[in-house]
Amino acid sequence: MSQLLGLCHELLHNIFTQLDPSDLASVSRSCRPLNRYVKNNKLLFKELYLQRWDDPSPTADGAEPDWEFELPKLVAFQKLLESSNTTLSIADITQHVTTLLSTAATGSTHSLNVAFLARIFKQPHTKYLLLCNSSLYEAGEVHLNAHYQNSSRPILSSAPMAGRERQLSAKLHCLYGVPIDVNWKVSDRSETLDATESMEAVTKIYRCINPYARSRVYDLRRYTEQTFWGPFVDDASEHVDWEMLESIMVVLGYNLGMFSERTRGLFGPVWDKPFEGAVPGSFVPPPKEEPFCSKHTRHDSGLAEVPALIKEPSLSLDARDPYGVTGTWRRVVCFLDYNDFYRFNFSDSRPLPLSTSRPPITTQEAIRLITLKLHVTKIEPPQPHTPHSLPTVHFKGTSRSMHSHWDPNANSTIVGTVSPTVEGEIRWTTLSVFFGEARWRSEGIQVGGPRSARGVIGTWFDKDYDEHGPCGPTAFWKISDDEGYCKCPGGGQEDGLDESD
Amino acid sequence: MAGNAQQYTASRTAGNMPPMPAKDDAEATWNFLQLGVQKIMTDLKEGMDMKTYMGLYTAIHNFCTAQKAVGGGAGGFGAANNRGGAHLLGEELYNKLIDYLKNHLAGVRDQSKQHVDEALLTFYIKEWKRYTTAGMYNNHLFRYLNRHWVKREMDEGKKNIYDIYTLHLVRWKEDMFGATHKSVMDSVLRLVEKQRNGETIEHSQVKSIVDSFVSLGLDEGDSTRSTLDVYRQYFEIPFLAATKKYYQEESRSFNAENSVVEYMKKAEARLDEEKERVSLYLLAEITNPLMKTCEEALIKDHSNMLRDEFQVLLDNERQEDLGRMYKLLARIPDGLDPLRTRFEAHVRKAGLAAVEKVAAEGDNLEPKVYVEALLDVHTQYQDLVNKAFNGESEFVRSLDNACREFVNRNKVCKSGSTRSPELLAKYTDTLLKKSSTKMTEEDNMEKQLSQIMTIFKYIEDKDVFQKFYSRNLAKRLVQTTSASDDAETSMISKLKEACGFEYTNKLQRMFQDMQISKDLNTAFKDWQSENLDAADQKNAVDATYNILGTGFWPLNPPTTAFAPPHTIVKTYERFAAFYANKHSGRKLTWLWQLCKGEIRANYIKSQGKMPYTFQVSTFQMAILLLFNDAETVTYEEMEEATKLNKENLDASLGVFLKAKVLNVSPAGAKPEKGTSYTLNYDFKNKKVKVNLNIAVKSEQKQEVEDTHKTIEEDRKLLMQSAIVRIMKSRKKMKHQQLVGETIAQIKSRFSPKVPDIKKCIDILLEKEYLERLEGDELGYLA
Amino acid sequence: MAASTPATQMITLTTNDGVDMTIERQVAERSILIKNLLEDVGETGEAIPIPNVSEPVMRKVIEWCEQHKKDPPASNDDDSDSRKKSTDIDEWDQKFMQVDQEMLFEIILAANYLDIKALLDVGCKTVANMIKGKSPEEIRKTFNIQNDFTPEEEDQIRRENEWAEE
Repeated sequence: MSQLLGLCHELLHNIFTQLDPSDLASVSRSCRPLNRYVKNNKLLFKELYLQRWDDPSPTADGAEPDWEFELPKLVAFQKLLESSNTTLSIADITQHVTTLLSTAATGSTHSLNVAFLARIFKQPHTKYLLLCNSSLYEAGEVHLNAHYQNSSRPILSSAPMAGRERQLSAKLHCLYGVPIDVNWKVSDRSETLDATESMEAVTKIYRCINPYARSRVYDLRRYTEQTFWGPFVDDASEHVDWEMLESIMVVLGYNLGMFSERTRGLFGPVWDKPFEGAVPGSFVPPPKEEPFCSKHTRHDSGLAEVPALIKEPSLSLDARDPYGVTGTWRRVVCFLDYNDFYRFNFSDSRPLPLSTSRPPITTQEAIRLITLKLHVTKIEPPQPHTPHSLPTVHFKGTSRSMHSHWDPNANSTIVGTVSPTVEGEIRWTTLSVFFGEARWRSEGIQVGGPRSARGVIGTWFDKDYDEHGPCGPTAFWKISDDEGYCKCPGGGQEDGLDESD
Repeated sequence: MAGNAQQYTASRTAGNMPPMPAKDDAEATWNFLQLGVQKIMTDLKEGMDMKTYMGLYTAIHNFCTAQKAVGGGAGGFGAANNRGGAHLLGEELYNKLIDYLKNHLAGVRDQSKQHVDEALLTFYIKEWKRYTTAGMYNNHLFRYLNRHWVKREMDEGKKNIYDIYTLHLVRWKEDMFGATHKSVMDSVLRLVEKQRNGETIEHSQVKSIVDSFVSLGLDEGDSTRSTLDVYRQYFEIPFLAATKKYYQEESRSFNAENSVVEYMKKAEARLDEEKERVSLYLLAEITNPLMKTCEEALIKDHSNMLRDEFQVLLDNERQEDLGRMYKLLARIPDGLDPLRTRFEAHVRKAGLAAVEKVAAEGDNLEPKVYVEALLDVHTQYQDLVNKAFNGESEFVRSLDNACREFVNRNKVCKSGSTRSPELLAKYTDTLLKKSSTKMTEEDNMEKQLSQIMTIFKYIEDKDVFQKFYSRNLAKRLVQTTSASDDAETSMISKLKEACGFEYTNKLQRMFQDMQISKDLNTAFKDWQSENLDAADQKNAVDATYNILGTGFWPLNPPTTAFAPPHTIVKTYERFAAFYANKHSGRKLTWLWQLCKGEIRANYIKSQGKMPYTFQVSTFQMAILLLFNDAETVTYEEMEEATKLNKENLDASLGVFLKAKVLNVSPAGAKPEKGTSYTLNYDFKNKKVKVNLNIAVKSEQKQEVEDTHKTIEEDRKLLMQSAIVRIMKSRKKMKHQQLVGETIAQIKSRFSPKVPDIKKCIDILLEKEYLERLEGDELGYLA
Repeated sequence: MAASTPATQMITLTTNDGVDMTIERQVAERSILIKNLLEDVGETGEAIPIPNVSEPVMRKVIEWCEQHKKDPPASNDDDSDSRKKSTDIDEWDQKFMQVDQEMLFEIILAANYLDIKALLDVGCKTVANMIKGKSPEEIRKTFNIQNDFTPEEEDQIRRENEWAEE
């Protein structure tokens, strides 16, 4: 007589919740009583699931998740990716990743899903084969498989990816969020590669990706009516062009990394944690310090002054805004010197077909960091057929350069809208207004969905869609829910980013 | 193994308790447990022995663990029981316990009906304590049930399943509280009313009731958390309602028999008392709603009565009662606004009355009297604001509004608001002038200057003050009549602080000029001693020169031609040469009308046998020196020699005649052609030094008028330059908008009148700085 | 014995085979059951009967409690947060658990009865480790379980559990 079978339920439960999920299969295959115990044991599956992944409930329809389905599904996914011998298509993988991200825990708790994905994608074969397979990496003549063929590792897939799959690889890379371009970040190399891996080989591969990304980002041929001049596919469908977004991310990531190094940490690194912030609602406001910057009233005369009216926060608007627009945002804008930009785009004797990439750009760009203070001005109810029935939110605010605040071009008014695309991505459109005159537009996609901590990545260009440019990459992400937020009283740090370049 | 244990237990516990029940028999197990639970509920103070305790715990444990994985059938987790093998045992015991508690509480409820008031409270509290103590005990005994069956039920999202202690609370709420809370609360309220009426009560009873109500606030969603819902609904709401009723009645009857001031004292005391009540036996959470309720009944409902009393208190200067009223009305929303309006009107009236009193003096009004009248009113009411109104900024603003009103628009200013700044500037001048009074002690001076600034703050026409002030300052500096450099600098820095650098720029430059002149004179003396021969040195007149920058000083060139007496010509020409050498290209204009000197009258002796010294203007000097060459000088000769115009010549002669320095012939003749003058050898004066350099009253009056005239001119320029500045940056603008912006830009200097601005715009249109565009728009022409 | 500090108050337990065992109160209170009992009934000097545990098992349990008496007090509250479970067992406990299977299950039952959560978890983890990574057949062998499936059933159940295969 087995003593194991003699135990009461609560004790078996205690024992089985300490197993790995796959052991559960063996247990239920051992005999009828244990099979009956495991089968339909919702709580057992639930507990094992919650030990490893974030609670996905409540699901969209409000029902409790089917734990006996969800747990095996994710275990199988994990096993397939780990085995690197997968029959899983990149579409399936992307599906899994986006599902895990959309149900990831937000707020102060650390997300198990994000940690899980980061762990899985830490393995070089997963990371490079899945994330570096867009046309960008092909343009960079990176032949991953060739390198991997020399190593003893099995190969994920030797066939080059097709268009749709490249898009998905780029999308995964965008969600992953740490631009794979190791030139500026040495530590990334050691952390992602096994000792057995040939360091030089991989370094060689990636050293040169950002010039190719730049070549795509500054290529005016991609800025057309069909793409809305933004990171959209060239067919007026408003589908996101993840490969464009990926290139923008690589370029900005490279420049932000350089900038972070130059300012010796005054401007901390961003985009350095895999999948972090690619989760809807993952923006968490920093702990409250001073609610307001102290404002001094000016005394021009001895006359008593009328006190400035304190602006009432428009609660109802903010409460109805699903995108969390109101607050302070950090923006980065990069641009090429206009001579370089012009030469790059207009020195061909005859037009180049779009399928032919322009040469890589190794010229350094300029970078500007900007503080945006935005607030909601109007909310339009959702269009009848928009996904997630999200509204269009209009906002207004100020844009202030952190570098040369004396430069009149550094400060402007900014207006814009946030709305869902046909695919349910969050699209941000902005217009910068200098002294009453509009000058720049931008189009971007919030990576990770509404209120994600990652923020918005996209393009900027002339407000009149000038076909002579200029244009370039930009991104912004939220740093506070408070519109009056400044990092330190008096704004010393905010102003201290001038550098001699 | 387990079987053995059970047998053994049964035999061991046989002495105290019935034998241990069969572990899978729910009925038997409950019967066994009920004896123990009964004892715990009703007779716990007798204590419980360990065997019984362990017996009860073990019976529950054994019952709950009776099912095994093997065997299938009824007890096993077989296919028949399709809850995913997750079925745990315990439900029967749980339900039996519920039945037991219901039954027990029905008895308690019946008993409670025999009691009222304090006896009811005593009973309720006693039963509550006994019951909750038993609940904690049972919670331990049923711990195995809690750990597994209850937990599992909750994890599976079952509603209305609680841990055993919470179950006790839930039952109390359902089976006891529901039927008794009303009478309990009535008793509480009667007790509190007794205390409000001045009787002593047992606080702890109310406190215990509050605590028990709070304990019943169970969060339906999460039994580990509690809410204040039950307490709010069954305690707070009735408590507040009773409070409101009590104070409404009390204040009504109190007011019928007492004065408003007495009522305020009463209300104050009641509010303190209620606050105290919270800390004595209520929940801190009630503070805000309770105070709000009291404030409504005690203050808001009577706010009109209170406000009506405000004027009476102001008239009688009842500072303490005003403070009391402020504190009361400050507690209700918008309570103070009407007071502020009245206060402002009152202060304005007081200010106007004070001015009216002194205005009787007409043009002879002493600046000091006027300024002090203004100050007195301000001081009095500022003190009131600080002491009674807590220095509250809104009251400060009302005070400022009132003061600004009566400072700029009162009886004295009838002719125009420029009177106030003019008088203030004059008063400042008297203060800063040498030996005006004996008291010029340092801090006293400082205090008076601060008081001037207090009034200055309210002056609307700050440009007028500036103009008079700078004239007076110029005079003090040139005539060296300033009392102290420190006081002068202090005043200038005060003005600078109030109005900015631009306002005091010229004043500071005047000061600087004086310093530079001092250095220049020293240098000139050195130069003279190095470069003059002995004879020249002997003949040189000892002179001091001030170099005053054109444009900074409010001074005009002389209005008359003048030929300086040859005695000083050499001296000043030498200086002019020295200066030209030092600063080539600069032109010196001699302000003869401001120059003065001393001459010794060698022809007459004072009583002390000393020759008299006359302090004279340079004009006077030129006249007197003519008598060195002739006994008698005719009017025509004087005109010819001095080149002075009639006005200045006559004025100087007038002084000489009045002081009896000169005799006129024929006696009593007017200064005109044909008149001649001789020295009066019989001149007598008590002093050896005689000041003949006296300004004539009419001259002073003329000066005031001039000043006003320049102010008008300056204002026009200021408005025009403001308009040009605005248009230059905006290029195009609507007429109305431009007027508005112009007012905004210069109102810190004076309050411009719209027609004046329009006039200025017209001038600028004429001068083609501006052009008329479509509609009402104006354009800027570069 | 000289006047001892209150910390070394002694408690007597009587096992179901009639053996009295005297141990420090602090040690005994690793058991929430005993801790609550002493709180509720009070210290009477009476021996505490433990009707569900025999002497050899009790000795083993006490050995563990002695070793862990300085651990932070077991919380009286529920043991919900399964996320915090770690499968690591410290070295001493691993050695302690090296007993025959019968004793292992007895310890688990006793810990469950006496409400000693940490010991219960160590026991369950030890059993879990005996299961981990094993095939169904190995599990049957380890725990002396009869394979009562028909071949058809076995086949079907294997297919149902394919997700866990490498």
